[in-house]
Amino acid sequence: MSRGSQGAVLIPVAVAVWIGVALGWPDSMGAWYGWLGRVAGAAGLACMLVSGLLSFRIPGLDRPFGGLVEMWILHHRLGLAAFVLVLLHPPLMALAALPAGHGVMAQVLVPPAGDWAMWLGWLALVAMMVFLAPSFQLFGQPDYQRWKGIHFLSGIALLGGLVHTVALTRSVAPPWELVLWGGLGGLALVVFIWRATVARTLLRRDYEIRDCVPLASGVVELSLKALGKPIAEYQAGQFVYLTPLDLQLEAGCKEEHPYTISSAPGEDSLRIAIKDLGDASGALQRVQVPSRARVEGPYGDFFPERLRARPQLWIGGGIGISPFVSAARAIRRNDSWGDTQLLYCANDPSRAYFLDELREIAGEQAGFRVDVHYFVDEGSLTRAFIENHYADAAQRDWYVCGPLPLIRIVCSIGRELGVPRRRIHTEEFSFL
Amino acid sequence: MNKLAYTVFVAFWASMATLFAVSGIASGERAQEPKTQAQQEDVLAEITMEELARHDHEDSCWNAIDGKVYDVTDYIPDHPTDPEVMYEWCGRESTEAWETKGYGRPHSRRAERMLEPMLVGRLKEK
Repeated sequence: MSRGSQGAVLIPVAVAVWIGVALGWPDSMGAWYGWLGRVAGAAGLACMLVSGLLSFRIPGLDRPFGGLVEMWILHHRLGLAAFVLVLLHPPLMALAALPAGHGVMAQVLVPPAGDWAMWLGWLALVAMMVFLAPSFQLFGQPDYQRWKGIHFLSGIALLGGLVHTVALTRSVAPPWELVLWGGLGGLALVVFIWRATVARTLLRRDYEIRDCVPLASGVVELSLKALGKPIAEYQAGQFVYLTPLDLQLEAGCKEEHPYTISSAPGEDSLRIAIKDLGDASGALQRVQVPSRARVEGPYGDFFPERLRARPQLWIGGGIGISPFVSAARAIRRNDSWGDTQLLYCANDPSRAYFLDELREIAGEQAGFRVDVHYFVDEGSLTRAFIENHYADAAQRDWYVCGPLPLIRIVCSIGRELGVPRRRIHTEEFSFL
Repeated sequence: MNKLAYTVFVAFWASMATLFAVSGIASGERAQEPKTQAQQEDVLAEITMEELARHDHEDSCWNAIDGKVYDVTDYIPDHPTDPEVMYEWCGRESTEAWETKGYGRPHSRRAERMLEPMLVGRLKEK
């Protein structure tokens, strides 16, 4: 876990400890319920606020967190922790009221009409369930654009939970209460306003799609040129959010989606490889050339610069080959990299796009080798295949990008071979 | 689907339904129970300062708050505050402690509701 991520996780843990200590050690079962309920509520709110803070999305600022993908994974996990902790809060607080009588417990479950702080807490909790349910796919896989819209509304639940807490909490002295909830809540509000208003205008750059090269059935590589100020200088393995503006597109016009950069840093054109994985990416296979688009980024930190000199094993499958294409092109342009061996996993030769170019680069560059594993011929990737092809695999840093089943198999083989988890770098796009 | 989120989601509504049903059944039973002496009387029993002062220990702890007297003996172990702090207020006029408990902030309305069943009488004015 990166230092930024460790810091982010530390905040709700510190809040839980702080509130727990301030409340004191409970002496009875009823007091225990109250203690646990209050700590769960405070920690849940802190998790939700930090999760909200992590959605700031500014190019470059994601790298201390290990890249935007890592940031989003942490955002998702903190959201899950918040979901669990906040749902524990009401039943525990109801049980804490039980020693005073069943009627009092019932009033925690259904507060009197005038108790606005309690009702606000309930409304925030129901809003959280409604707005976060699609993120946890509680009722099936949601549509990407609809999910983004619904997810954004979870800010309402956050605000409701914050006001409920500030109105009712008596756990810490007022100045510290203001520092804690005012500070975290204020920052989360700034991030929310930033994302809701000026972020898109300030971060997106105007580009023109100049070329659309078919690589295989359902896979193209777009070539884009900046019309004004380009995006910041990118590194191999990073990705951008592309918003096509071609009004003739069958789907996805003016919708942003993340795509991995396939060009090398410093190239004249920005190239991105796109596989038909849905309506928007499917329509882009037939985008008009030339046509306008907006690009935001770059994001991600797939190949951390400090690790580049180490010997590496790259394993890519499907469109997950894109970051390795970008890095191989960078090697061709004399970027400094450690000894690198690329294993390209494809179903069959017709799906091994970019392979000819990768082999060309391997022929030119002494420290770069390419092997291919065809699933149709050799079945699933196995430990024996890795051991036979890469005798020093356990000494290398592994970089894996591709479909989730491939990532899982590779991670499993890596564990069997004794490769530490921190040396297996994976990247998976999921609801970005 | 996230199994943890789904499990907690289902468990939450199941526990809410159970707690609600239990409180409903218990309230129904309690409606048939005889009322306490204080509740039976139209006018609350008057309690003098001397009588209040006799309930100044952990076996019988009464607090006077806003002119009403409450027997909080059984609730003290379940109260979030350290019992020793609570015992200091036994047998005394405790409105100040009630109003300024949370760093100068009063108790919540939930706490007010928790106090109601502990009512034993009205503090006699001097």
